[in-house]
Amino acid sequence: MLPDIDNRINNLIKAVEKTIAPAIDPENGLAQEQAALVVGHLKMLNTQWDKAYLFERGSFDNMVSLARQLAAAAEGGQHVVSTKDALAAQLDALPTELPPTPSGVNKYTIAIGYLVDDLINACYTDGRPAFKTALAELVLNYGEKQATRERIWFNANGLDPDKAKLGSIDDMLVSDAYRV
Amino acid sequence: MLLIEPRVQYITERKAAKRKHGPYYPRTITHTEAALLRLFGARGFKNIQVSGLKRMTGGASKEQFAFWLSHDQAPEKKRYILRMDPLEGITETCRLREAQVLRAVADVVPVPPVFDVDPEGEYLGQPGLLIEFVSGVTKPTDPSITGISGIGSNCGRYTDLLAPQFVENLTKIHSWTDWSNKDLSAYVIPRANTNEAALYQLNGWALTWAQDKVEPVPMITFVENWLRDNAPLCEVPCLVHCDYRLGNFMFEEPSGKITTILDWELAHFGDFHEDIAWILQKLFGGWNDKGEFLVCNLMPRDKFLEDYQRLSGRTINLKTLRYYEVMNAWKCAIMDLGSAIMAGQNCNSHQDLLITWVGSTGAVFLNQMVELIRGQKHVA
Repeated sequence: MLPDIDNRINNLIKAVEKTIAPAIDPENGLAQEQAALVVGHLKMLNTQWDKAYLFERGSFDNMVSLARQLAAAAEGGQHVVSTKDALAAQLDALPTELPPTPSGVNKYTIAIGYLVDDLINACYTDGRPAFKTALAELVLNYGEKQATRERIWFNANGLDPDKAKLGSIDDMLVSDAYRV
Repeated sequence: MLLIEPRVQYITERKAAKRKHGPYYPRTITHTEAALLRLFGARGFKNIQVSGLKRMTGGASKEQFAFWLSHDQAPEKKRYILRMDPLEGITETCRLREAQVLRAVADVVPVPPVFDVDPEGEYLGQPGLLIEFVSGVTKPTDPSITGISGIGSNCGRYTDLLAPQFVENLTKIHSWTDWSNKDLSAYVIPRANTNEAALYQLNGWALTWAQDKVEPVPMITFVENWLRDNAPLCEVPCLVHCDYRLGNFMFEEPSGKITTILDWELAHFGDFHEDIAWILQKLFGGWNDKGEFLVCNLMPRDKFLEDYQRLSGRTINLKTLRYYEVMNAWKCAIMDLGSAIMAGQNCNSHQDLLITWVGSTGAVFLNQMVELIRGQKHVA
Protein backbone atom coordinates (compact mmCIF):
# COMPACT_ATOMS: atom_id res chain seq x y z
CA MET A 1 0.00 0.00 0.00
CA LEU A 2 1.52 3.27 -1.09
CA PRO A 3 1.25 5.61 0.65
CA ASP A 4 0.91 3.42 3.71
CA ILE A 5 -1.15 4.24 6.80
CA ASP A 6 1.84 5.18 8.98
CA ASN A 7 2.95 7.62 6.34
CA ARG A 8 -0.45 9.29 6.12
CA ILE A 9 -0.94 9.52 9.89
CA ASN A 10 2.51 11.05 10.28
CA ASN A 11 1.72 13.59 7.57
CA LEU A 12 -1.53 14.46 9.35
CA ILE A 13 0.33 15.02 12.62
CA LYS A 14 2.87 17.23 10.91
CA ALA A 15 0.17 19.29 9.19
CA VAL A 16 -1.72 19.93 12.42
CA GLU A 17 1.37 20.56 14.55
CA LYS A 18 3.32 22.73 12.14
CA THR A 19 0.74 24.46 9.98
CA ILE A 20 -2.78 24.35 11.42
CA ALA A 21 -2.15 24.75 15.15
CA PRO A 22 0.16 27.79 14.81
CA ALA A 23 -2.48 29.50 12.65
CA ILE A 24 -5.18 29.23 15.34
CA ASP A 25 -6.15 32.43 17.10
CA PRO A 26 -4.28 32.39 20.45
CA GLU A 27 -7.50 33.61 22.08
CA ASN A 28 -9.40 30.56 20.87
CA GLY A 29 -8.60 28.10 23.64
CA LEU A 30 -11.10 25.48 22.52
CA ALA A 31 -9.66 25.34 19.01
CA GLN A 32 -6.13 25.10 20.41
CA GLU A 33 -7.18 22.30 22.75
CA GLN A 34 -8.92 20.47 19.91
CA ALA A 35 -5.82 20.70 17.74
CA ALA A 36 -3.69 19.24 20.54
CA LEU A 37 -6.20 16.43 21.02
CA VAL A 38 -6.22 15.66 17.29
CA VAL A 39 -2.45 15.24 17.44
CA GLY A 40 -2.72 13.13 20.60
CA HIS A 41 -5.32 10.82 19.09
CA LEU A 42 -3.33 10.47 15.86
CA LYS A 43 -0.18 9.57 17.78
CA MET A 44 -2.07 6.99 19.81
CA LEU A 45 -3.69 5.58 16.67
CA ASN A 46 -0.24 5.25 15.16
CA THR A 47 0.78 2.91 17.99
CA GLN A 48 -2.39 0.84 17.61
CA TRP A 49 -3.76 0.53 14.08
CA ASP A 50 -1.39 -2.16 12.85
CA LYS A 51 -2.09 -4.33 15.92
CA ALA A 52 -5.83 -3.81 16.20
CA TYR A 53 -6.71 -7.25 14.83
CA LEU A 54 -4.49 -9.02 17.37
CA PHE A 55 -5.90 -6.89 20.16
CA GLU A 56 -9.51 -7.64 19.25
CA ARG A 57 -8.69 -11.30 18.69
CA GLY A 58 -7.22 -11.48 22.21
CA SER A 59 -10.30 -9.76 23.63
CA PHE A 60 -12.51 -12.27 21.82
CA ASP A 61 -10.48 -15.22 23.13
CA ASN A 62 -10.70 -13.90 26.68
CA MET A 63 -14.46 -13.37 26.45
CA VAL A 64 -14.96 -16.87 25.03
CA SER A 65 -12.83 -18.38 27.82
CA LEU A 66 -14.84 -16.54 30.45
CA ALA A 67 -18.08 -17.65 28.81
CA ARG A 68 -17.02 -21.29 28.72
CA GLN A 69 -15.86 -21.19 32.35
CA LEU A 70 -19.10 -19.58 33.50
CA ALA A 71 -21.24 -22.00 31.52
CA ALA A 72 -19.35 -24.91 33.06
CA ALA A 73 -19.83 -23.56 36.59
CA ALA A 74 -23.46 -22.46 36.21
CA GLU A 75 -25.91 -24.08 38.60
CA GLY A 76 -29.21 -22.71 39.73
CA GLY A 77 -32.86 -22.13 38.95
CA GLN A 78 -34.73 -21.36 35.78
CA HIS A 79 -32.98 -18.06 35.06
CA VAL A 80 -29.55 -19.63 35.29
CA VAL A 81 -30.54 -22.65 33.22
CA SER A 82 -32.10 -20.65 30.39
CA THR A 83 -29.27 -18.11 30.13
CA LYS A 84 -26.66 -20.84 30.38
CA ASP A 85 -28.35 -22.68 27.50
CA ALA A 86 -28.48 -19.51 25.40
CA LEU A 87 -24.79 -18.89 26.05
CA ALA A 88 -23.83 -22.47 25.25
CA ALA A 89 -25.79 -22.29 21.98
CA GLN A 90 -24.01 -19.07 21.01
CA LEU A 91 -20.63 -20.62 21.78
CA ASP A 92 -21.50 -23.69 19.70
CA ALA A 93 -22.57 -21.47 16.83
CA LEU A 94 -19.27 -19.59 16.63
CA PRO A 95 -17.69 -19.94 13.17
CA THR A 96 -14.56 -22.04 12.88
CA GLU A 97 -12.94 -19.16 11.06
CA LEU A 98 -13.41 -15.66 12.42
CA PRO A 99 -13.83 -12.60 10.20
CA PRO A 100 -10.49 -11.12 9.07
CA THR A 101 -11.14 -7.61 10.44
CA PRO A 102 -10.99 -6.17 14.00
CA SER A 103 -14.59 -4.94 13.84
CA GLY A 104 -15.76 -8.29 12.49
CA VAL A 105 -14.18 -10.13 15.42
CA ASN A 106 -15.50 -7.55 17.87
CA LYS A 107 -19.07 -8.25 16.78
CA TYR A 108 -18.70 -11.80 18.06
CA THR A 109 -17.10 -10.59 21.30
CA ILE A 110 -20.06 -8.27 21.87
CA ALA A 111 -22.63 -10.97 21.10
CA ILE A 112 -21.07 -13.35 23.61
CA GLY A 113 -20.60 -10.51 26.11
CA TYR A 114 -24.32 -9.78 26.21
CA LEU A 115 -25.04 -13.42 27.05
CA VAL A 116 -22.28 -13.40 29.69
CA ASP A 117 -24.00 -10.35 31.21
CA ASP A 118 -27.30 -12.23 31.21
CA LEU A 119 -25.73 -15.19 33.00
CA ILE A 120 -24.11 -12.91 35.61
CA ASN A 121 -27.50 -11.31 36.30
CA ALA A 122 -29.18 -14.73 36.38
CA CYS A 123 -26.61 -15.95 38.90
CA TYR A 124 -27.67 -13.15 41.25
CA THR A 125 -31.33 -14.01 40.64
CA ASP A 126 -31.41 -17.74 41.28
CA GLY A 127 -27.85 -19.06 41.15
CA ARG A 128 -26.68 -21.59 43.71
CA PRO A 129 -24.23 -20.22 46.31
CA ALA A 130 -21.39 -22.31 44.87
CA PHE A 131 -21.98 -20.79 41.43
CA LYS A 132 -22.03 -17.30 42.91
CA THR A 133 -18.67 -17.91 44.58
CA ALA A 134 -17.18 -19.39 41.41
CA LEU A 135 -18.62 -16.62 39.24
CA ALA A 136 -17.02 -13.91 41.37
CA GLU A 137 -13.57 -15.43 41.01
CA LEU A 138 -13.99 -16.13 37.28
CA VAL A 139 -15.18 -12.61 36.48
CA LEU A 140 -12.49 -11.01 38.65
CA ASN A 141 -9.81 -13.12 36.96
CA TYR A 142 -11.14 -12.11 33.54
CA GLY A 143 -11.49 -8.49 34.68
CA GLU A 144 -7.92 -8.32 35.88
CA LYS A 145 -6.43 -9.75 32.69
CA GLN A 146 -8.64 -8.00 30.17
CA ALA A 147 -8.50 -4.64 31.94
CA THR A 148 -4.71 -4.83 32.06
CA ARG A 149 -4.66 -5.50 28.30
CA GLU A 150 -6.84 -2.45 27.75
CA ARG A 151 -4.72 -0.25 30.00
CA ILE A 152 -1.63 -1.24 28.03
CA TRP A 153 -3.49 -0.65 24.77
CA PHE A 154 -4.41 2.90 25.82
CA ASN A 155 -1.34 3.69 27.92
CA ALA A 156 -0.34 6.38 25.41
CA ASN A 157 -3.15 8.57 26.78
CA GLY A 158 -0.84 9.31 29.72
CA LEU A 159 -3.65 9.22 32.28
CA ASP A 160 -3.04 5.84 33.92
CA PRO A 161 -1.74 6.46 37.46
CA ASP A 162 0.46 3.36 37.12
CA LYS A 163 1.51 3.92 33.53
CA ALA A 164 5.17 3.27 34.26
CA LYS A 165 4.39 -0.22 35.55
CA LEU A 166 2.56 -1.36 32.42
CA GLY A 167 4.27 -3.42 29.73
CA SER A 168 4.41 -2.78 26.00
CA ILE A 169 1.64 -3.46 23.49
CA ASP A 170 3.88 -5.90 21.60
CA ASP A 171 4.57 -7.97 24.73
CA MET A 172 0.93 -7.87 25.81
CA LEU A 173 -0.28 -9.22 22.48
CA VAL A 174 1.87 -12.36 22.68
CA SER A 175 2.13 -12.99 26.42
CA ASP A 176 0.10 -15.70 28.15
CA ALA A 177 -0.04 -13.51 31.27
CA TYR A 178 -3.07 -11.66 29.90
CA ARG A 179 -4.99 -14.70 28.67
CA VAL A 180 -8.00 -15.92 30.63
CA MET B 1 -40.23 -0.32 44.13
CA LEU B 2 -36.92 0.72 42.61
CA LEU B 3 -35.32 3.51 44.61
CA ILE B 4 -34.23 6.19 42.20
CA GLU B 5 -34.35 9.95 42.56
CA PRO B 6 -37.17 11.16 40.26
CA ARG B 7 -35.18 14.11 38.95
CA VAL B 8 -32.17 11.89 38.21
CA GLN B 9 -34.39 9.44 36.36
CA TYR B 10 -36.00 12.30 34.43
CA ILE B 11 -32.76 13.89 33.23
CA THR B 12 -31.19 10.53 32.38
CA GLU B 13 -34.18 9.58 30.25
CA ARG B 14 -34.33 13.10 28.79
CA LYS B 15 -30.77 12.68 27.56
CA ALA B 16 -31.61 9.41 25.84
CA ALA B 17 -34.60 11.02 24.15
CA LYS B 18 -32.61 14.05 22.98
CA ARG B 19 -29.53 12.29 21.71
CA LYS B 20 -31.10 11.64 18.33
CA HIS B 21 -31.10 15.40 17.67
CA GLY B 22 -27.32 15.43 17.24
CA PRO B 23 -24.65 15.94 16.17
CA TYR B 24 -23.91 18.75 18.59
CA TYR B 25 -21.52 21.55 17.67
CA PRO B 26 -19.78 23.98 20.02
CA ARG B 27 -21.87 27.09 20.45
CA THR B 28 -20.63 30.20 18.73
CA ILE B 29 -20.32 33.48 20.57
CA THR B 30 -23.09 34.93 18.40
CA HIS B 31 -25.41 32.04 19.21
CA THR B 32 -24.64 32.26 22.92
CA GLU B 33 -25.20 36.02 23.05
CA ALA B 34 -28.57 35.61 21.36
CA ALA B 35 -29.52 32.91 23.86
CA LEU B 36 -28.55 35.12 26.80
CA LEU B 37 -30.54 38.05 25.44
CA ARG B 38 -33.53 35.76 25.01
CA LEU B 39 -33.28 34.65 28.64
CA PHE B 40 -32.79 38.12 30.08
CA GLY B 41 -35.61 39.51 27.93
CA ALA B 42 -37.92 36.83 29.29
CA ARG B 43 -36.90 37.88 32.81
CA GLY B 44 -38.22 41.36 32.07
CA PHE B 45 -34.85 43.17 31.96
CA LYS B 46 -34.58 46.27 29.77
CA ASN B 47 -31.53 47.99 28.31
CA ILE B 48 -29.66 44.70 28.40
CA GLN B 49 -25.97 44.95 27.63
CA VAL B 50 -23.97 41.71 27.28
CA SER B 51 -20.28 42.33 26.68
CA GLY B 52 -16.91 40.58 26.82
CA LEU B 53 -18.57 37.24 26.10
CA LYS B 54 -15.94 34.53 25.72
CA ARG B 55 -15.64 30.79 26.00
CA MET B 56 -13.81 29.36 28.98
CA THR B 57 -11.51 26.38 28.51
CA GLY B 58 -11.21 23.39 30.79
CA GLY B 59 -13.77 20.83 31.83
CA ALA B 60 -15.09 17.98 29.79
CA SER B 61 -18.78 18.03 30.47
CA LYS B 62 -20.21 21.56 30.19
CA GLU B 63 -19.79 24.48 27.81
CA GLN B 64 -18.77 27.49 29.86
CA PHE B 65 -18.76 31.16 28.92
CA ALA B 66 -17.83 34.30 30.84
CA PHE B 67 -19.52 37.62 30.15
CA TRP B 68 -20.38 41.04 31.59
CA LEU B 69 -23.99 42.08 32.04
CA SER B 70 -25.81 45.30 32.80
CA HIS B 71 -29.52 46.08 32.54
CA ASP B 72 -32.12 48.52 33.82
CA GLN B 73 -32.38 46.90 37.25
CA ALA B 74 -28.57 46.64 37.66
CA PRO B 75 -26.94 49.38 35.59
CA GLU B 76 -23.44 48.68 36.87
CA LYS B 77 -21.99 45.83 34.84
CA LYS B 78 -21.17 42.60 36.59
CA ARG B 79 -19.38 39.46 35.42
CA TYR B 80 -21.10 36.07 35.21
CA ILE B 81 -20.43 32.51 34.09
CA LEU B 82 -22.82 30.50 31.95
CA ARG B 83 -22.65 26.71 32.32
CA MET B 84 -24.53 24.91 29.58
CA ASP B 85 -25.17 21.27 28.79
CA PRO B 86 -24.21 19.81 25.43
CA LEU B 87 -26.62 17.18 24.05
CA GLU B 88 -24.75 14.51 25.97
CA GLY B 89 -21.42 14.13 27.66
CA ILE B 90 -19.39 12.10 30.11
CA THR B 91 -22.00 12.76 32.82
CA GLU B 92 -25.62 13.84 32.65
CA THR B 93 -26.43 16.16 35.51
CA CYS B 94 -29.12 18.66 36.34
CA ARG B 95 -28.74 22.44 36.31
CA LEU B 96 -31.81 22.79 38.54
CA ARG B 97 -30.26 20.55 41.20
CA GLU B 98 -26.98 22.42 40.88
CA ALA B 99 -28.75 25.77 41.38
CA GLN B 100 -30.70 24.47 44.37
CA VAL B 101 -27.67 23.09 46.17
CA LEU B 102 -25.56 26.19 45.47
CA ARG B 103 -28.28 28.40 46.94
CA ALA B 104 -28.75 26.07 49.90
CA VAL B 105 -25.09 25.95 50.97
CA ALA B 106 -24.26 29.59 50.30
CA ASP B 107 -23.87 30.22 54.04
CA VAL B 108 -22.02 26.97 54.71
CA VAL B 109 -19.00 27.04 52.42
CA PRO B 110 -17.80 29.50 49.79
CA VAL B 111 -19.71 28.87 46.54
CA PRO B 112 -20.47 31.01 43.49
CA PRO B 113 -23.78 32.90 43.93
CA VAL B 114 -26.52 31.70 41.55
CA PHE B 115 -27.86 34.36 39.21
CA ASP B 116 -30.34 32.36 37.11
CA VAL B 117 -31.18 28.89 35.89
CA ASP B 118 -32.91 27.62 32.76
CA PRO B 119 -33.46 23.96 33.71
CA GLU B 120 -35.00 22.82 30.43
CA GLY B 121 -33.17 25.15 28.08
CA GLU B 122 -36.39 26.99 27.33
CA TYR B 123 -34.50 30.19 26.49
CA LEU B 124 -30.89 29.07 26.18
CA GLY B 125 -31.59 26.14 23.86
CA GLN B 126 -30.01 23.69 26.28
CA PRO B 127 -30.24 23.56 30.08
CA GLY B 128 -28.02 26.21 31.62
CA LEU B 129 -26.97 27.79 34.90
CA LEU B 130 -25.71 31.32 35.42
CA ILE B 131 -23.47 32.06 38.37
CA GLU B 132 -21.56 35.10 39.48
CA PHE B 133 -17.92 35.23 38.50
CA VAL B 134 -15.62 34.55 41.43
CA SER B 135 -11.95 35.46 41.26
CA GLY B 136 -9.27 32.89 41.88
CA VAL B 137 -7.40 30.08 40.19
CA THR B 138 -7.95 26.31 40.17
CA LYS B 139 -4.24 25.60 40.00
CA PRO B 140 -1.17 27.70 40.60
CA THR B 141 -0.28 29.99 37.72
CA ASP B 142 2.98 28.17 37.25
CA PRO B 143 4.06 27.11 33.77
CA SER B 144 5.10 23.66 34.95
CA ILE B 145 1.50 22.74 35.86
CA THR B 146 -0.14 20.10 33.67
CA GLY B 147 -3.20 17.90 33.72
CA ILE B 148 -6.89 17.90 32.80
CA SER B 149 -9.17 19.89 35.07
CA GLY B 150 -6.78 19.62 37.98
CA ILE B 151 -6.21 15.89 37.54
CA GLY B 152 -2.57 15.26 38.28
CA SER B 153 -1.84 18.91 39.01
CA ASN B 154 0.84 19.85 41.48
CA CYS B 155 0.25 22.65 43.98
CA GLY B 156 3.86 23.48 44.73
CA ARG B 157 4.20 25.90 47.64
CA TYR B 158 0.41 26.17 47.96
CA THR B 159 0.08 22.58 49.16
CA ASP B 160 0.47 23.38 52.86
CA LEU B 161 -1.87 26.37 52.60
CA LEU B 162 -4.64 24.54 50.78
CA ALA B 163 -4.62 21.18 52.57
CA PRO B 164 -6.16 22.29 55.91
CA GLN B 165 -8.84 24.42 54.18
CA PHE B 166 -9.61 21.50 51.89
CA VAL B 167 -10.39 19.24 54.85
CA GLU B 168 -12.19 21.94 56.84
CA ASN B 169 -14.57 22.79 53.99
CA LEU B 170 -15.31 19.12 53.45
CA THR B 171 -16.27 18.67 57.08
CA LYS B 172 -18.53 21.74 56.86
CA ILE B 173 -20.36 20.23 53.88
CA HIS B 174 -20.83 16.92 55.68
CA SER B 175 -21.85 18.53 58.96
CA TRP B 176 -24.51 20.77 57.41
CA THR B 177 -27.98 19.73 58.55
CA ASP B 178 -29.95 22.95 58.32
CA TRP B 179 -31.69 22.13 55.08
CA SER B 180 -35.31 21.96 56.21
CA ASN B 181 -36.06 25.54 55.10
CA LYS B 182 -34.18 25.28 51.78
CA ASP B 183 -35.66 24.49 48.39
CA LEU B 184 -34.14 21.11 47.61
CA SER B 185 -37.20 19.82 45.77
CA ALA B 186 -35.11 18.21 43.05
CA TYR B 187 -33.39 15.97 45.61
CA VAL B 188 -34.40 12.95 47.66
CA ILE B 189 -32.89 12.55 51.09
CA PRO B 190 -32.34 8.88 51.96
CA ARG B 191 -33.78 7.60 55.22
CA ALA B 192 -31.34 7.29 58.11
CA ASN B 193 -30.20 3.84 59.26
CA THR B 194 -31.12 2.22 55.93
CA ASN B 195 -29.15 1.29 52.83
CA GLU B 196 -31.09 3.80 50.71
CA ALA B 197 -28.08 6.11 50.40
CA ALA B 198 -26.20 3.43 48.45
CA LEU B 199 -29.24 2.22 46.53
CA TYR B 200 -30.24 5.66 45.21
CA GLN B 201 -26.77 6.05 43.76
CA LEU B 202 -26.60 2.51 42.50
CA ASN B 203 -29.94 2.66 40.72
CA GLY B 204 -29.28 6.04 39.15
CA TRP B 205 -25.96 4.91 37.69
CA ALA B 206 -27.36 1.54 36.67
CA LEU B 207 -29.95 3.39 34.59
CA THR B 208 -27.16 5.41 32.99
CA TRP B 209 -25.28 2.21 32.13
CA ALA B 210 -28.42 0.59 30.73
CA GLN B 211 -28.89 3.59 28.43
CA ASP B 212 -25.27 4.30 27.52
CA LYS B 213 -23.82 0.81 27.22
CA VAL B 214 -22.01 0.60 23.89
CA GLU B 215 -20.58 -2.87 24.52
CA PRO B 216 -21.11 -5.29 27.40
CA VAL B 217 -18.44 -5.12 30.11
CA PRO B 218 -18.77 -8.14 32.42
CA MET B 219 -16.98 -6.40 35.29
CA ILE B 220 -19.53 -3.57 35.30
CA THR B 221 -22.43 -6.03 35.33
CA PHE B 222 -20.84 -8.14 38.05
CA VAL B 223 -20.00 -5.15 40.24
CA GLU B 224 -23.53 -3.76 39.95
CA ASN B 225 -24.77 -7.00 41.48
CA TRP B 226 -21.98 -7.00 44.06
CA LEU B 227 -22.87 -3.44 45.10
CA ARG B 228 -26.52 -4.40 45.43
CA ASP B 229 -25.61 -7.38 47.61
CA ASN B 230 -23.30 -5.39 49.86
CA ALA B 231 -25.08 -2.02 50.19
CA PRO B 232 -24.19 -0.70 53.67
CA LEU B 233 -26.43 1.09 56.14
CA CYS B 234 -25.99 4.82 56.39
CA GLU B 235 -26.68 6.08 59.89
CA VAL B 236 -26.92 9.77 59.10
CA PRO B 237 -27.20 10.83 55.45
CA CYS B 238 -25.55 14.14 54.66
CA LEU B 239 -24.80 16.32 51.68
CA VAL B 240 -22.12 14.71 49.50
CA HIS B 241 -20.32 16.89 46.94
CA CYS B 242 -19.19 13.87 44.94
CA ASP B 243 -16.46 15.56 42.91
CA TYR B 244 -14.51 17.24 45.69
CA ARG B 245 -10.91 17.39 44.59
CA LEU B 246 -8.10 19.59 43.42
CA GLY B 247 -9.31 21.43 40.31
CA ASN B 248 -12.82 21.85 41.68
CA PHE B 249 -12.11 24.72 44.02
CA MET B 250 -10.58 28.12 43.44
CA PHE B 251 -8.08 29.97 45.54
CA GLU B 252 -6.40 33.34 45.58
CA GLU B 253 -2.78 33.89 44.79
CA PRO B 254 -0.56 34.55 46.65
CA SER B 255 -2.58 34.07 49.89
CA GLY B 256 -3.74 30.55 49.03
CA LYS B 257 -7.18 31.28 50.47
CA ILE B 258 -9.93 29.10 49.01
CA THR B 259 -12.49 31.48 47.48
CA THR B 260 -15.07 29.07 46.11
CA ILE B 261 -15.94 25.40 45.74
CA LEU B 262 -17.03 24.49 42.23
CA ASP B 263 -18.70 21.72 40.25
CA TRP B 264 -21.57 20.65 42.46
CA GLU B 265 -23.31 18.91 39.59
CA LEU B 266 -22.95 15.43 41.10
CA ALA B 267 -23.91 16.52 44.63
CA HIS B 268 -26.60 14.52 46.39
CA PHE B 269 -27.60 13.36 49.84
CA GLY B 270 -25.89 10.16 50.83
CA ASP B 271 -23.08 8.63 52.84
CA PHE B 272 -20.03 10.77 53.67
CA HIS B 273 -17.82 7.78 52.90
CA GLU B 274 -18.67 8.34 49.26
CA ASP B 275 -16.83 11.69 49.26
CA ILE B 276 -13.89 10.28 51.21
CA ALA B 277 -13.57 7.41 48.75
CA TRP B 278 -13.78 9.79 45.79
CA ILE B 279 -11.08 12.04 47.20
CA LEU B 280 -8.77 9.05 47.77
CA GLN B 281 -8.79 8.05 44.10
CA LYS B 282 -5.34 7.57 42.69
CA LEU B 283 -6.29 9.43 39.52
CA PHE B 284 -6.71 12.66 41.48
CA GLY B 285 -3.47 12.41 43.43
CA GLY B 286 0.24 12.21 42.83
CA TRP B 287 3.59 11.48 44.40
CA ASN B 288 5.78 14.02 46.18
CA ASP B 289 9.57 14.26 46.04
CA LYS B 290 9.87 11.59 48.78
CA GLY B 291 7.85 9.10 46.73
CA GLU B 292 4.91 9.50 49.07
CA PHE B 293 1.41 9.38 47.55
CA LEU B 294 -0.54 12.56 48.19
CA VAL B 295 -4.34 12.51 48.20
CA CYS B 296 -5.48 15.12 45.66
CA ASN B 297 -1.81 16.14 45.57
CA LEU B 298 -2.33 17.74 48.97
CA MET B 299 -1.55 15.32 51.80
CA PRO B 300 -0.74 11.69 52.60
CA ARG B 301 -3.71 9.33 52.85
CA ASP B 302 -3.35 8.67 56.58
CA LYS B 303 -3.07 12.35 57.44
CA PHE B 304 -6.14 13.13 55.36
CA LEU B 305 -8.16 10.42 57.11
CA GLU B 306 -6.93 11.46 60.57
CA ASP B 307 -7.57 15.16 60.01
CA TYR B 308 -11.03 14.50 58.58
CA GLN B 309 -12.05 12.33 61.55
CA ARG B 310 -10.66 14.78 64.07
CA LEU B 311 -12.37 17.81 62.52
CA SER B 312 -15.68 16.15 61.69
CA GLY B 313 -16.04 13.99 64.78
CA ARG B 314 -17.00 11.13 62.48
CA THR B 315 -15.47 7.70 62.45
CA ILE B 316 -14.56 6.24 59.11
CA ASN B 317 -15.71 2.65 58.73
CA LEU B 318 -13.09 0.96 56.55
CA LYS B 319 -15.52 -1.62 55.20
CA THR B 320 -17.96 1.10 54.14
CA LEU B 321 -15.09 3.13 52.74
CA ARG B 322 -14.03 0.17 50.61
CA TYR B 323 -17.64 -0.27 49.43
CA TYR B 324 -17.71 3.34 48.20
CA GLU B 325 -14.27 2.98 46.65
CA VAL B 326 -15.74 0.13 44.60
CA MET B 327 -18.86 2.16 43.80
CA ASN B 328 -16.84 5.18 42.70
CA ALA B 329 -14.61 3.08 40.46
CA TRP B 330 -17.77 1.51 39.01
CA LYS B 331 -19.30 4.96 38.39
CA CYS B 332 -16.11 6.16 36.71
CA ALA B 333 -16.06 3.04 34.54
CA ILE B 334 -19.66 3.79 33.49
CA MET B 335 -18.76 7.39 32.67
CA ASP B 336 -15.68 6.35 30.68
CA LEU B 337 -16.81 3.17 28.96
CA GLY B 338 -20.48 4.12 28.60
CA SER B 339 -21.45 7.77 28.55
CA ALA B 340 -18.21 9.18 27.11
CA ILE B 341 -18.03 6.63 24.32
CA MET B 342 -21.74 6.92 23.51
CA ALA B 343 -21.52 10.72 23.33
CA GLY B 344 -18.39 10.44 21.19
CA GLN B 345 -20.01 7.95 18.82
CA ASN B 346 -23.01 10.25 18.43
CA CYS B 347 -20.77 13.36 18.10
CA ASN B 348 -23.06 14.93 20.67
CA SER B 349 -20.58 16.86 22.80
CA HIS B 350 -18.55 20.01 22.18
CA GLN B 351 -15.68 17.91 23.54
CA ASP B 352 -15.96 14.65 21.57
CA LEU B 353 -12.19 14.34 21.30
CA LEU B 354 -11.57 15.03 24.98
CA ILE B 355 -14.22 12.70 26.32
CA THR B 356 -13.12 9.79 24.14
CA TRP B 357 -9.56 10.49 25.32
CA VAL B 358 -10.72 10.40 28.94
CA GLY B 359 -12.94 7.42 28.11
CA SER B 360 -9.88 5.41 27.19
CA THR B 361 -8.98 5.29 30.90
CA GLY B 362 -12.01 3.14 31.70
CA ALA B 363 -9.97 0.00 32.24
CA VAL B 364 -8.04 1.69 35.06
CA PHE B 365 -11.27 1.62 37.06
CA LEU B 366 -12.03 -1.98 36.09
CA ASN B 367 -8.67 -3.00 37.52
CA GLN B 368 -9.33 -0.97 40.67
CA MET B 369 -12.62 -2.80 41.19
CA VAL B 370 -10.83 -6.16 40.92
CA GLU B 371 -8.23 -5.16 43.51
CA LEU B 372 -10.76 -3.65 45.89
CA ILE B 373 -13.20 -6.56 45.79
CA ARG B 374 -10.40 -9.04 46.25
CA GLY B 375 -9.42 -6.94 49.24
CA GLN B 376 -5.85 -6.56 48.09
CA LYS B 377 -5.65 -2.87 48.79
CA HIS B 378 -7.41 0.44 48.89
CA VAL B 379 -7.22 2.52 45.75
CA ALA B 380 -4.63 4.88 47.17
